[in-house]
Amino acid sequence: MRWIGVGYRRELAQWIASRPPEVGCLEITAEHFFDGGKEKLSKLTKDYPLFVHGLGLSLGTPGPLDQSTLDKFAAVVEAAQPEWISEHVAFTRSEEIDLGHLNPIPPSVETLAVLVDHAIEVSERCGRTLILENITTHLRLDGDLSETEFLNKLCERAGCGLLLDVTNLFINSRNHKFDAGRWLRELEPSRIAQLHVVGYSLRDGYWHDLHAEPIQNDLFELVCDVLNYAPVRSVIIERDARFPCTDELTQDLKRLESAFDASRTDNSVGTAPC
Amino acid sequence: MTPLELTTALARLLADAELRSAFIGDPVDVADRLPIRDADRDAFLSLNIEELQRQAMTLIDKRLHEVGRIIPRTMQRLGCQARSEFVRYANQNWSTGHKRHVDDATAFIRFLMTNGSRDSICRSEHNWLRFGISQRRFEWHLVPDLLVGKKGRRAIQFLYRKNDGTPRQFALYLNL
Repeated sequence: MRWIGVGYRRELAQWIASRPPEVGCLEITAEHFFDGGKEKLSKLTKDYPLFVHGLGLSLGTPGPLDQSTLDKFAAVVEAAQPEWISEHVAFTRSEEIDLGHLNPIPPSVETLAVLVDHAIEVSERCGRTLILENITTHLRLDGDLSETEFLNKLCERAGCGLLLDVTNLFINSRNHKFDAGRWLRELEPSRIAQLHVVGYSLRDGYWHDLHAEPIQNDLFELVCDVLNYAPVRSVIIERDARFPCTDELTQDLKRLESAFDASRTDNSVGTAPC
Repeated sequence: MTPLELTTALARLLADAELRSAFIGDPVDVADRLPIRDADRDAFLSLNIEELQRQAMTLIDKRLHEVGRIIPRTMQRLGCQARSEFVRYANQNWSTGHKRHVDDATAFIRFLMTNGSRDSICRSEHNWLRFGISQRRFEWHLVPDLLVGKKGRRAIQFLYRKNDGTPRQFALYLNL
């Protein structure tokens, strides 16, 4: 089974409710349902396969996970009954301060242990397979592992899959001047379960993930490269700005569907535990 | 003082513009003062200053974007000052938790009120924001700036809550 869909956003609710044929699944952001909306979730569950995506568990923060946030996350998972759940290889807060957005962690053996423990805890608490997403960052941190080694070991030890954000990979490769294709081929392909993609933004000489553009051709080529490399099971377009954009989304979903159909990989052979 | 591990130290650097300036001037001194755990000292000292600054500004810009979605008309009224005012506010204030964007918008309006930009605040938008985070069932306001098409009009703004708690509003426009 392969699913192509969009991240559920308030601005897209009416369009999604009209059941556009191009939308085959939805990814909901857990934090958007922490204070209610479970009825809406039940409705969405009936209409679409769902994935629950988290932003604030801060898996990369050393020490125990915030149990209150984890409880809320698990309650959303319970209500949504998703195919799988996802979070980021990142930290959003320290013991002292909540930065509110994703920040990099050093790819070290010590950080790996923190991530593995937290990933296992989240997966067990929610009773669902967890997949983890690479982030975009302006700040590169050194560690005793390469980023791809780190991700491969993380997936192996935590028994999780990879949510490969192709836009983030593209942006990082441009801003930090490395070869995205080579980086991709250092990953264990069977772990890549899902993709995120949305057009990048170019501003002041740097690439940014503003989630505000349709997918550009050079980015789309990288998406096709990934689809030919790995047995991806789902692709989600993450649009967060410059609404309304349903025409652009429809066009991008159609292109992704064609790319999925044309891809050489067999999506039934992945070992990502999804 | 307990030595800090890298994530905590990095969070401090990203959140504190003054600490970043000190780090740019003398990273060894900052590493000694915090202090940084021995195992993380080399990684801390090797942080790329330009990348660190960009990451810090990205955090602020992401907050600005989210706040702009919540109070777009106030941001529009601030015009070219919106970003600089928000940066001034955001460097000193970090909201926490999953409601942080709404909290950020509320705190930013409070900041504007106390920093000479009261006239930039769209009152009807502020009422809507306050009502949304309150537990109230109903309230009304006489406002000068409720949006009709692309123009703000004088109106009586009625705010109420549906049975499921969702806030709603309707208006009686005056002097149309």
